[in-house]
Amino acid sequence: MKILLIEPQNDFARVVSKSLELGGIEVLHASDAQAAVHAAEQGIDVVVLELALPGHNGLEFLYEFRSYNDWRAIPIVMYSHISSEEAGFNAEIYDRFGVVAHLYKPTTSLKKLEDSVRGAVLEPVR
Amino acid sequence: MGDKQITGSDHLKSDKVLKALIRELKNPLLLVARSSELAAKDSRAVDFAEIEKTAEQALQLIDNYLLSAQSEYGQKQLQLEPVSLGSIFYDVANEINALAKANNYELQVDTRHTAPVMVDPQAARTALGSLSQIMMIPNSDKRAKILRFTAFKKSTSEVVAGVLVPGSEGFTEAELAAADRLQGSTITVLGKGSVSSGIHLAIAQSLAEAMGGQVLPVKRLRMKGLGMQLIKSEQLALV
Amino acid sequence: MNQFVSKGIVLHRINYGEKDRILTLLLNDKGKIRVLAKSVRSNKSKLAGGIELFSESTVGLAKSRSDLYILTSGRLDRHFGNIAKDLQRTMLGYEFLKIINKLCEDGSGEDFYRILLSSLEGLDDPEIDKEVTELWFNIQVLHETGSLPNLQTAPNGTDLEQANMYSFDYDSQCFTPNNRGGFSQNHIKLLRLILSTKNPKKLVQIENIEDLVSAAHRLSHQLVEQYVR
Repeated sequence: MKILLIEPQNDFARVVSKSLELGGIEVLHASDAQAAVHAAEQGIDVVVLELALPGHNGLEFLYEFRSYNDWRAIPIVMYSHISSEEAGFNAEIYDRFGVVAHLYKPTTSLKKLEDSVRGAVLEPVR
Repeated sequence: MGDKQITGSDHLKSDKVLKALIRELKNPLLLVARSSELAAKDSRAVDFAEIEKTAEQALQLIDNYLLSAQSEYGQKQLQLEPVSLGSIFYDVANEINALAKANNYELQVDTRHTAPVMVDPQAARTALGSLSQIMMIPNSDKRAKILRFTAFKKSTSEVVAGVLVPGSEGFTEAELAAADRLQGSTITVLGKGSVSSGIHLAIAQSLAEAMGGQVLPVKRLRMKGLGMQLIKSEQLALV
Repeated sequence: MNQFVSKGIVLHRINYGEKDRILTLLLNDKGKIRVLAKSVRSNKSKLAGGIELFSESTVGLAKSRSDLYILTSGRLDRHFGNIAKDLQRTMLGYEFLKIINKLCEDGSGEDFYRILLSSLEGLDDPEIDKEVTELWFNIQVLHETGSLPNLQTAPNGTDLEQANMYSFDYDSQCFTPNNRGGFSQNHIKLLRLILSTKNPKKLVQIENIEDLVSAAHRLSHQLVEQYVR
């Protein structure tokens, strides 16, 4: 499995990547939305997305990402220090963008993140 | 030496700024927490020196906030004295060197025009350190970006201490003004690639004003960034 | 080729082939058109391509043999960068674009240009509460589509000034006097004022507007859901 981790904090990305790699998951890292769109061309199974991105934010990335036909079925796991309440997102938005989980960083362990990522590939995106 | 009366600035007198501080503290705390979890899986996968530095940065941020809040609330009077800007620049560069490396920045200090200025040394270091954090927009290029400390004359009585990055888009007066109003925003207050929650700007503005100056956008040659306008000292620097 | 220059706002972008994009633009003088932007995805800036969302641009266009125009040049005039600094403003921004895109037929909709531009300006201004901007947008859109409720008289024809409190009747699309209603005369005055203002910024000057916006915003949102979406 190959995932795209979109995370602006490089040191945090390193820790997350290492943890997932120890679990046998290949990780591509992009620190902003622009780089993420380029990185996705390498072929990925899941996107792990921080909403608070520099430049274009995570929501803008979602709109852009879903405008590519080839990527419409790739599930998204939000992994953000913005909670769903703070973001103001509801079920309709998650459905629209194929977000299979919104994980709040402060309360999500690396183990839980890995379980969500593995679970994401099993869930079809409508 | 002289004591400075509180200017009446109110950058920190807002629960939005407190929210910005809390948001900013999440990053280092998350790094420590998740690194600890990773270390339990495989201790070789973790850079303990990096975790230590990260925790220290978080503590430093708290101290920076406290200094500026105490100054703004009148609990601490800043003591202005003539200080060489060059020495301030070197002190700040030493303090943030590890952070600069982590963000893929190389620090440069330009001491050609560093006249003595009337500042509280701790406040000046804190303010410049805060401006540096804003300017260190995450750099994922292969090549390190330059972050340069430089000073220049603004008028016969004022000097600007600048933190500049070649090729940076910089910020405008309007963006700095909007940042105040955007405090508490869910993402960032400055844009242009910055993920700053606004706390660093609020701290820098508060301290700059407490020293009779202000934070402003700066452009020199092909470099843009942020600077702190300070009062030039007529005396020789003691340091 | 028939070439011209206009001011426009991007409503929608989709990808076309390997390197191109099809943009749906709302032009200030020609309404909604679809434009082929060639090779914009082959350069570094895939998200920009010279034509950003949440921006007003000056675009050079040429008529092609198909329904699509060809983008010959694009210059960013104003980028509403503060919108992307806040997720909820970003979401609202996309909603505005989606609604306007839905309402405009190809080749028409110039009247919506002003509404959209002023609404993006409102979202971009941190001084203006996003609910106020959304309320302004909703009322303007309802008016433009002929779906604005009656703000002058009750269902029986009496002037609305005569009662203190009102409820809103969805069947008749009118405010009806009701002592237990959720709307005061001030709510109705606010809605009338919104109609007469050119942009949401004017509303910020109203004293205690925060007390009025919530109920008015909820109503406008429900009406837009019902008649516009």
